[in-house]
Amino acid sequence: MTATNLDSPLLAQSMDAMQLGVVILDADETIILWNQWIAQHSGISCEQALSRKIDELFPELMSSRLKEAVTYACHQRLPSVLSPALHRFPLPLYRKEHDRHSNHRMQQLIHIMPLAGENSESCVLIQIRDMTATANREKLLRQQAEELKRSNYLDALTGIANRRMFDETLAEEFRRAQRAGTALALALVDIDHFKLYNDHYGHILGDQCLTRVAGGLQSCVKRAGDLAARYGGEEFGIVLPGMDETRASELAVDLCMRISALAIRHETSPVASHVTISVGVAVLKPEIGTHDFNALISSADVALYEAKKEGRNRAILFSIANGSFHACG
Amino acid sequence: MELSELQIDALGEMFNVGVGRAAASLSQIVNNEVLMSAPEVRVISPEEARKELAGTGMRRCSSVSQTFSGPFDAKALLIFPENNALEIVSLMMGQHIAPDELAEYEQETMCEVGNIILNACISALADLFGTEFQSTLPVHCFGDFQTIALGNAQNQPVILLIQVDLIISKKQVQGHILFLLSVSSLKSLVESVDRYLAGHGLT
Repeated sequence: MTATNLDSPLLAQSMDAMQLGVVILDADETIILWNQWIAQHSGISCEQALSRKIDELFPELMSSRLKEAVTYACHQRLPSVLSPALHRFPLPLYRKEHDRHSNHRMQQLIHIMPLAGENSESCVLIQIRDMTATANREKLLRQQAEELKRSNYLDALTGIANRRMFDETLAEEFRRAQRAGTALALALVDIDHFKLYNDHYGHILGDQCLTRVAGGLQSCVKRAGDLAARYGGEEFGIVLPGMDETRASELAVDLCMRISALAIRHETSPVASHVTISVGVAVLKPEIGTHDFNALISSADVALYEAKKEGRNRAILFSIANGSFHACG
Repeated sequence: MELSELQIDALGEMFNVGVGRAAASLSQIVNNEVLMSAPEVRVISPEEARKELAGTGMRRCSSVSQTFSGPFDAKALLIFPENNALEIVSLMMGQHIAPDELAEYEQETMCEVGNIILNACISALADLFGTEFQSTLPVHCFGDFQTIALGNAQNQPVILLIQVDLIISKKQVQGHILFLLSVSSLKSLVESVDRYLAGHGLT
């Protein structure tokens, strides 16, 4: 369909200038055109390629999709495409010489189409594009996207989940608990006298303290589905799906002990000579349509407040059922 | 235009030969068993075809098309509901690809899968009719069953609808092949079928 006023020398030059592989086979699958690009990237010169059958040059092709596609074009006049997704390296082609030595093949996109020769004989056009750069770019983008997705939900300082992750998880677990008729526990954790710590030791040590406490809390939260997150400045929230009041209280005590065991010196704390935490716990069994999870947060908050009031360095449970406080442990 | 049961059966046989070839090609790529059958062939209008396709309840679809010319002309489409297409991509590429990565490869993978299946079908027709067809390269489209171009009452009022059952590594996936035909193309197709039947002593 394409008309051309170009003469043969110009066309021949164009073939060799193409930045893709161009190979033409005759009706016997013998090579009648082998352009500069493919000569360079296959390491097979024009002299070596012309008048040879494509099977001879690439014996491993014999029982493959590429061979089948050549046959389709030659005998049935039908075009085919070989996508890099399904055939990364159909032909032994290399971007650079040293890739050949390390057997690092180029990723290829191949189109195979029938052509009609001068006397209407069946010829085959094979075009090969180098897709390696595209594939590498896609891989990089994918890695960056994953990194971005991950960092979206992580607290930059401590490395544990951030507030966004906490909010989404709590809402999701609440919905799940509603559907399944199961319990949902929440523990709110506050570092005792953290402002005094920062004032005395400085912000760098303050940041380190936050990170160590986060790590300590994280290590107690082991079940799949539980989440420890940085809720605010020196506050942490722990989502515990399916946990009852007894188990939640035990965990709250574990948290206190774990942080005390870190033995982070806190000279200016009136409570102890090391960093301690206060924990407020509440457990809700959501009926469909009744509570929303704010009731859970308020209850844990009220429990935390009570823990502070009673002297800090302790865990208190607020029982939503009968509105009473219970010391944990 | 109505086709006789004999003619429909003959077409059904031909497409089964075609999808059988396609299955063999696909299994070479996947290195695992691929089975394919075309249990049903119907000649219907574009409206009926749309109803049939939309009837699965799924909206988004993945389609590959090639336009054939020869003894008759037809635009051929291979259509899968979107999630079936992703399933095919996953099975063809091997399970090591993460689910959210599959969509990236859908276009090129479905293009080749569609190319293999459509070429196999048309080559089966070509062999059985003793003729030759030309074709365009495959083109992939994301679409919507409600709005996808399925011919119209003027130009291509007839659709040859072929249900396709694909089993890759024991997982079953269903789709459809459609040939969009003009009235004269349908006539040529039927004439080819009749010649084939006569040649085999069946009329």
